[in-house]
Amino acid sequence: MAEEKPASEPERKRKFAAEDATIEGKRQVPLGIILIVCGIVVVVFAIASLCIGRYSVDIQTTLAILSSPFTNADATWTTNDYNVIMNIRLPRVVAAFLVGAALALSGASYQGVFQNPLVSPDILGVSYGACVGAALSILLYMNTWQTQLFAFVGGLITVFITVSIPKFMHRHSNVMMVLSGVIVGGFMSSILGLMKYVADPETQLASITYWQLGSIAKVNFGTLSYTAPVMIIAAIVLVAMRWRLNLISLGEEEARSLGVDLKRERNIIIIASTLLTASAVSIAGTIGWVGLIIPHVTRRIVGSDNKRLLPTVILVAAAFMMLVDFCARNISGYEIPLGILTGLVGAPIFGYILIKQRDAD
Amino acid sequence: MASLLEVNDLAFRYSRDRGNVFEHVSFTVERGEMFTLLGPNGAGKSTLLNCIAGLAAPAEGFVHVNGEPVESYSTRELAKHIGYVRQHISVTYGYTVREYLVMGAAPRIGMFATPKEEDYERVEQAIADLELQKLADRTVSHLSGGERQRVAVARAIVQDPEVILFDEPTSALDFGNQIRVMRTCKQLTERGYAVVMTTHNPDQPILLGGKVAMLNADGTLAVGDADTTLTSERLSELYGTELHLVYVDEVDRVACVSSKL
Repeated sequence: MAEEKPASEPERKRKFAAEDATIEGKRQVPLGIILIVCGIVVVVFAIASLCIGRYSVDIQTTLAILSSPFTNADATWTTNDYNVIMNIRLPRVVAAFLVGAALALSGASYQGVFQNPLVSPDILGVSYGACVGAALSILLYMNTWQTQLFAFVGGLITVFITVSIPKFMHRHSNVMMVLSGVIVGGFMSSILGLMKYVADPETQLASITYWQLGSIAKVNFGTLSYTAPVMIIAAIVLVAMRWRLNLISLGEEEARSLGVDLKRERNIIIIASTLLTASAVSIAGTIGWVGLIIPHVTRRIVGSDNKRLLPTVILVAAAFMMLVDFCARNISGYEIPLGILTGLVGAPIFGYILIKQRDAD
Repeated sequence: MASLLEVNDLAFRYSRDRGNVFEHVSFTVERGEMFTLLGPNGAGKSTLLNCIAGLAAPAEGFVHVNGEPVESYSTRELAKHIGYVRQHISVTYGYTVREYLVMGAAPRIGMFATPKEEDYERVEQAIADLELQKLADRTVSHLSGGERQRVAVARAIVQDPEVILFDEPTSALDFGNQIRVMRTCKQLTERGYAVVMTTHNPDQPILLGGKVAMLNADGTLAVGDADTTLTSERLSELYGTELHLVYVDEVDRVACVSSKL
């Protein structure tokens, strides 16, 4: 057949460049190899995060402490070493893994469901709702655990309101859902502003602002024992439905004519993604960019097929979040909020992707 | 025995306070049959296909597939019987042709499952059938309109329904690609698929043969064999301009031509 000028060209120009992330013409690297490499990177970053800090612990001692619950080896470490590794840094490393993976996994899932590569995990207003919940608990002088619970519940209530509006109007399109998210998110943003306005500027306002900037410094295994199971179950559901995301991302009518029970499957994915985001935000505050950038970066590695993308995105995001948290702890004498660092790193990465894509075009 | 596809006294309107887009539409389609739905722009051809595919609810009448109402099928079951190739194939993400084609196997894959080896074998077979080997590793969004249509047909083959609906598959294609797509449609009927295709080009039902239905601007339908149903008078009335069916010796067929401008 004679070559013809691609009719899709103007359409492509209109579309956002990063969505075309592709591995066109190249032989795909087996997913297993990619996952093994990413897994090794995660382990290396995790060990580095455990060993290095203001109080450094050598790698042999770190590994011995980590394996101590499973062996009867004599303690060759100090109590300080043990506390730093097991009670301070290990929960942070686990939290970084979970928060990064949760945000990126939900981001990739939302991007598939809403057929929009610019969608981030808070499209339905979950982050705003979580902020309102957290701010309310701070205004009521509650403790850290209660703040996390309020943030989680606030996020879920907000998304419930967001998805109820299209239902109430009997309009179930994606556009309606996104618009509903804009409405509810905007409303919650104003509520948050009001809460900040009435907050004690010396104590409460500072706490709300710091919480919003994002941190996993206060995470412990107690907190994780409540949130991790929710996150793991939601992640399993999304990974199990990863190929369905391909179908849903084709658009509503196309998906239905391929036999997708759109309402049911979309709802399951939205619920699982929301639980992941709300859990992540409740323990770490609002951390931007991860849910947007990591799926983009990962598409450049494994292509757009969600069957390959979703498992990989978990490990890439986990590694990224560990690196960010490592920098947050070690760059200066003070701990830098994670939201600031992810923005400082995420925005240039996004710009880089755009430039690379322009060159490719 | 029930027809494969039966459309009976179908009417559609967008809302109660608006008139019918079409009404009293009845026809049947059997296995291996070509059915071309001809009509001017805006006559409601795509809406009629949407009603058949269960994507739009008719105001009156019914659509039966294998004797069962279309609404009695689950979305998944219906997709095993009816495939749908759209006018414009738009893909947001950079799926390769293989990744796109295997999506045709969706009606046979569970909600928490991924395609199996046999599904990928069907994809390879469809690639071989439509000679898409050179496109297989390319990104769908980078393909030309003609290439996308061929890929969409291949996905319908992977889906393997009994009826394949084509919504104006040639409207955005150059002449060569129009012919290629029509040839593919005809080959599908030879393989036992029932093909329902909409078009606004009166030459196409003449080329394709089989049954033709003319969806008039007043929303009524005239159905019959292409040879007998298509007349110069009817086509002129349908399109609101003077058209002639003339026999062309060189190609040994009738062609539809317009008068001088």
